[in-house]
Amino acid sequence: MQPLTTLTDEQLIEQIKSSGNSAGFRIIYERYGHLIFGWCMRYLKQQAASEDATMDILEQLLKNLHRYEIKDFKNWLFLLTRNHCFQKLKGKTTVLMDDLSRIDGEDVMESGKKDPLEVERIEEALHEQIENLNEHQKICIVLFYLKKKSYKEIVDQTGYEMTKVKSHIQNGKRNLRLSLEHVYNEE
Amino acid sequence: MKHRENFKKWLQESPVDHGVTDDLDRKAVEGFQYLDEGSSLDESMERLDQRFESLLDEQPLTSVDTEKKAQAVVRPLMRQRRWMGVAAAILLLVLPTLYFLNKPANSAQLFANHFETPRSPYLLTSRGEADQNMPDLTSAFTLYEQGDHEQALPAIRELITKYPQQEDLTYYAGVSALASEMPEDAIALFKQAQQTQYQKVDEKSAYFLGLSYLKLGDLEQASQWLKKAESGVYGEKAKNLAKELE
Repeated sequence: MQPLTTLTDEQLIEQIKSSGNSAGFRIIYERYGHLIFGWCMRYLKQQAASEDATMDILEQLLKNLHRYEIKDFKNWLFLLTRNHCFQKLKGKTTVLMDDLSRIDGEDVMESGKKDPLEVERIEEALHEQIENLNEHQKICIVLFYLKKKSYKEIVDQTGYEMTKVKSHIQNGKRNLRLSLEHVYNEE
Repeated sequence: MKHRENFKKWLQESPVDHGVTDDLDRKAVEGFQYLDEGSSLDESMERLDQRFESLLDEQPLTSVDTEKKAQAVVRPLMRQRRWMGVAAAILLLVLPTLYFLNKPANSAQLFANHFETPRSPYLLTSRGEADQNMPDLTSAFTLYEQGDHEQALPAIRELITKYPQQEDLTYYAGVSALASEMPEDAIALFKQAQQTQYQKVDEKSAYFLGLSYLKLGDLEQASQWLKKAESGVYGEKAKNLAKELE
C-alpha cells in the first residue's frame, strides 16, 4: 500500500473521506498548518487571533472534510481561510476604507454603498497594497487602523516621534489611496 | 515536517530566491511579519501542534461511512417523531380550534417553519470538465452546504460574473442572503434569477420571493408570489404556505 505521505492532496482527502483515518489528516496539517497560520496573519495582522483562527479552520475541516468535493485543495483551503478572516475583520477595515475614499471631506473615490462582491475585491486589494507600503507606513497604518492603537500607543510601541507617526499614517493613506484608485474605478 | 522546514528557509530569505513563485506561499510568508516581537515560527507552531493534537483527541474524524451510519440511525427515529408530531397536531386542532382559526398568522413564525435552504448541485454531482478548474465554486458552495451563509454569500456573488454560464448562481446567492437575514437583498437577487429558466430557477425563485416577502412581513406580496409559484417545482410548498397565510 502506498505510504500516505506520497499521496497527492486530493488522493489523501479521498483516503480520509473513506477511512476516517486521522493519520491522513495529520499529513494535511503538516503540509498546510503553517500556511493556514501565515494566511491568517496576513489578513488579521495579529498572532493570537491568527492562532485561534487557524484552529477554527482546522476544526471545520475535521468535522466537514468528508462532505467536500475538492479539485485544487491548496487554492480551496486558501479561499476558506481568507473568507474566514474577512468575516473576522468585518468592520475593522471599514474605517480605513472610508478614510481612503475622502480628501477634505469629499468622497473622491465615489465609494458609496458597493456590491458585496466589489467590497471583497477591494478588501483583498487593500491587504495586498498594505504589504507594498514602506516599512514605517505599514507599521503605523496597521497599528492605527487594524489594531486600533492610539497615536500615543504607537509612539510607545515603535519609538517613532508623534509627528513621524502622523506623517507615516498620512503618507501611507495617500499611497494606499493612489494604488487603490484603479480598483475603485474599475467597473 | 519537510514542508515546514522549507517554509522556515523561505522566512529567512525571500521565497523567490528559493525558486518559489507560488503566490499562495508568498502570501503565507508575508503573514509572518506580523508575529509578535520575540516570537518565532517554531514557538507558534509548537502551540498549534499541541492544540491540534487535543483537537484530534476530542473530535474524531468523520468519514463518509460514519455519517451514513449516523443518518441511518436518525431516520427511523425521525419517522417515529413524525407520527408523534402528526398526533400532536391533530390534538392542537381539536382543542381550542376557534381561537387558533381566528388568530392572524405570525409571519416570522411561518417563515421559520417553512424556510429551508435547498441543496445545491455543485458538490453533489460532477458537471464534467468545467468543474475541474473551478475550485472557487467548490469553496463557495462548501460554505453554503455548511450553512455558513454569511461567508457563502460574498463568495457566491463573486462567482456570478466570473461564471455567467452558471445561471443558477444568482438564485443560490438569494438563498444565502435570505438565510443571512437580508430579505431585501434576497428579493433583488431572486428577481434577477427570475430572468432565466436554467435549472427551473425562475420557478424556484418565485417560491423564495414569497418567503422573502413573508420575512419582511409583506403578506400581500408574499401571497402573490406564492400564487405564481404554485405552478412550478415548489408548487406543493407554495400552496401549503399560501393556505396558512389566508
